[in-house]
Amino acid sequence: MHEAIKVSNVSKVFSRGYLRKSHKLVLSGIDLKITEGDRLVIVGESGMGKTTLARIMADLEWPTEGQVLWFGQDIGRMSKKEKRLLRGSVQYVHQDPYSSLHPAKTIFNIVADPLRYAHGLKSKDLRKRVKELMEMVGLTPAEYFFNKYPHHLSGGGRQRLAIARALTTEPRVIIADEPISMIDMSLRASIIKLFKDLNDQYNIAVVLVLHDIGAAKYFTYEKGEVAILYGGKIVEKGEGTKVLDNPLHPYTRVLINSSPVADPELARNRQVEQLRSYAVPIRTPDSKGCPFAHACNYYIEKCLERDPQLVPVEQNHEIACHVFCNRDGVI
Amino acid sequence: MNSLIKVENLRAVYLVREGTIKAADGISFDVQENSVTAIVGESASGKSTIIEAMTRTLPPNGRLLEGKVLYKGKDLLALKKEEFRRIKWKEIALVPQAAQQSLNPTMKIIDHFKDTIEAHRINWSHDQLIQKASEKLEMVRLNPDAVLYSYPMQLSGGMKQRVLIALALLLDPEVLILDEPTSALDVLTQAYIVQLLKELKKKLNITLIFVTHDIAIAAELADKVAVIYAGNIVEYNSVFRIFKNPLHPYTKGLLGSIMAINADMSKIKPIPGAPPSLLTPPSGCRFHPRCEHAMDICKKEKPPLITVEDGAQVACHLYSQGGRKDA
Amino acid sequence: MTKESLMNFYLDYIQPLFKNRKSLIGLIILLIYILMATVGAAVIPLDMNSNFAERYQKPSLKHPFGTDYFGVDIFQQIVHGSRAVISLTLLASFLAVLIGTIVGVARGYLEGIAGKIIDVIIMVFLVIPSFPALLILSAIFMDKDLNVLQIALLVAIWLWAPLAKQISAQVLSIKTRDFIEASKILNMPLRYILFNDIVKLLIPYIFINFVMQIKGAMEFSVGLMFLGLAKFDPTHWGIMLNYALYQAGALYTTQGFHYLFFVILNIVLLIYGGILLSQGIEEIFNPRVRGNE
Repeated sequence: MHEAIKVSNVSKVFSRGYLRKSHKLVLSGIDLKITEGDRLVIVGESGMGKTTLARIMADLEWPTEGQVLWFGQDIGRMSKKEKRLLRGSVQYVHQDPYSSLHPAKTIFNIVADPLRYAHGLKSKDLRKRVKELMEMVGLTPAEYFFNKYPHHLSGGGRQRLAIARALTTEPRVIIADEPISMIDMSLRASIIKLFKDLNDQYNIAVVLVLHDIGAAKYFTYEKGEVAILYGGKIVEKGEGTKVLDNPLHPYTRVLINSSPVADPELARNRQVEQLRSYAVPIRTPDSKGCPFAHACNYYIEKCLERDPQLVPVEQNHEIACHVFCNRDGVI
Repeated sequence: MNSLIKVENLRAVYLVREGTIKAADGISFDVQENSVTAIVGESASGKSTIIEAMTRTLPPNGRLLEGKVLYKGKDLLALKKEEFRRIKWKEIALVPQAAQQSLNPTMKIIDHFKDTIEAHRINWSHDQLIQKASEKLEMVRLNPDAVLYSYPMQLSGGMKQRVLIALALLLDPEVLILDEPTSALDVLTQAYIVQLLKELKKKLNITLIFVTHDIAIAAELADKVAVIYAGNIVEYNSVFRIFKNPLHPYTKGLLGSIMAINADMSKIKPIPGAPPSLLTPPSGCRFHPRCEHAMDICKKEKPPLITVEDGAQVACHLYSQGGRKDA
Repeated sequence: MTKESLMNFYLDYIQPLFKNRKSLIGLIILLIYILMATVGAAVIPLDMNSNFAERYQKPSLKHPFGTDYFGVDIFQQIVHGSRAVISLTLLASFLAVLIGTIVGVARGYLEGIAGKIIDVIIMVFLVIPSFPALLILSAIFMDKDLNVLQIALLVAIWLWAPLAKQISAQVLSIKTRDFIEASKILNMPLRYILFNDIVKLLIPYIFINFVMQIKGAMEFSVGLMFLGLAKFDPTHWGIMLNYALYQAGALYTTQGFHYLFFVILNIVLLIYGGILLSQGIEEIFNPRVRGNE
């Protein structure tokens, strides 16, 4: 299997101010990859850089350092023409299904226009393909929706439409940033299931950015990888079941233990570790040490000086922590 | 245990260009003193309408058709404005959603506190105000020196939510009504707020009513849970019983569709269909188009909320047919 | 344009015009004059021959508005003159909207230096007082025999700037919305993004602006004619007004009162129709035009 997207040592710094005085380090040293046909979830809370990472992977923003490879090619060095050819292979679904769809276009046209302009499909073939795509995402009966507008759909329906639109270019990778956070609870699982089905049936690699651990588990419990982001850094990554059932990094453990459970007894009896700080770390290019040190209950002096690197603790499971892992394995 | 608040047959609508949105369709429930009641519903279920009706903050296009909200024997909806204002905030306070710009971005936090006492005609000196405000901010684990003189945009989502809680607690109310206290917050912040609310409840002995779309939050905090679907309460039960043995098909479907971390992933099943538009709600039981147990009578008659064993209440023809017990 | 989208357009933007009282009356007035200009001028003959025996006749059945200094029927002149007024007005409005939209969209889409240059151009036209500038321009071109299109263009030059500014602001805001990025990710060509994504949302805005321009264009063109700065056409109301006041001394004799009166009446009525329509539109659309949804 080939690598669909590979992110190598990517960092992103946002500079503000007229004379570029203040610099914010949003991502540092990200190494991530997704193979064709695989599933990946990037888990992070807000302000941790997950949206920036997703956008960099989708070529909607450019890294300050590092490379992004699509199917083995460095997109930072491609000509405009080459990029145009590859653009359709990596699609993106926005978080907000209320603003990612044009309010004045019919549902039919939202899906049909890319097919018309990019693939030159016409009349009967066009209708057939639009119907196919809408059925793939569960908007049936397709014809019922053709002349309606996005505002006639629920949040879940709109997200499905956005996915159908993304499928018009026959992508090999779909990246979705928080696709379910603006949808009702009872409809969220069906959207995740849709991504799973697209992955299974059409071998499309799917990268989801989520803050909901339950959804991350649902998406990866059969197959897939998880990467946990904190302060712009991947602190733990590996096979989904390994990371979520046996978290080793202190942040991941607190995150999972704080996730809502649908069991009142369990909720009341469990002990959730309190962090020393819940503030989002503000990092600059000069910041030293582990971004989690300020909140961690187990920090040692080394944590304040040197940024830990990702080290394997078992097959397909790595963490970046001085305390819970050293070069020889778990402490 | 007596009922502190009793909501009786609340019916409210919103007038829009296309017609009327029948948002609250005969809602009745009661809240015991010192308890935590959760009203769980998805978007467009009418849960916000209940709060708006109870606090008399319906928007200009909202109309209260019927209903009583009895507090200590008095109907809040029938009180004169002056009398209601005396109760509002001093006895019943509202914590709005932090996500919805409830704080004025041009005013410092201390000014928000000042506004509150002025609106309720309290005559505290400046020092008294600072002292009380600091006390409440500390109660929600915020540092008064840092927060009092900041602007809302300098605070994170979690901090803003805590400020709103502190503002609501300012006049030491007996009842706190919270509108989606944890939505739009991160997992850790959410957990923090939930923990905070648990502590506050214990420390201050207050009654909490909160509205949420996340039933898992109800599992953490609530004593009793009211599940609301399309403007009707479909189930009202103690939190333990609702999770262990949900009665209404919607509650069952809801619990089976959420991706909680402790759930059996292979058994997760979404509820087919989508929530109905309240402009033209389905006839009879509003859940019947999505219900796998729907019978003929469900399309024709709306099931009333009846009491079955152990004080559990459910609005479903499955229970009013056989095995019906009156309380 | 599907049937449904046309229907929606009608319901959202045209039907309210009929329901609002001001815009309805304004529309009726304008419609009367448009009819006058199209049907009326074709049906009613124009006899410009002087007939001094009939000069300054009071309004009667034969001469509904009376006769002027030369004995020519005023009503006929008004009807024929309406053609010039209406055509100039509508043409000028249309050109103003066209220029304003093109410049506005261009500014909204281009950023950096090109955008700033366009900003300056827009600002120049906003700041220069329109009517005096128009007068100066017309005076320059006075002896060249300009046709209606060219005069309309002269007028439009001083009307397009406010629309351009508003459209550029709208485009800048629409550009940041996710569906624009989505179109780019789907490799949609630039013309698609400009027209199907951006301009499509501006159409109601442009339409309303066009109607509101009518009033301004009308005032400008009548004013131009009145001051004798455009093509000489004796039936043009501005020219008639000029005649009435300066040539025929209608102010100085009670006999000429009806001459002055009817010309002014028609000018005022037509402009008032435009004002009512604009006010009605403001009442209906203002918050929606700004926010779009």
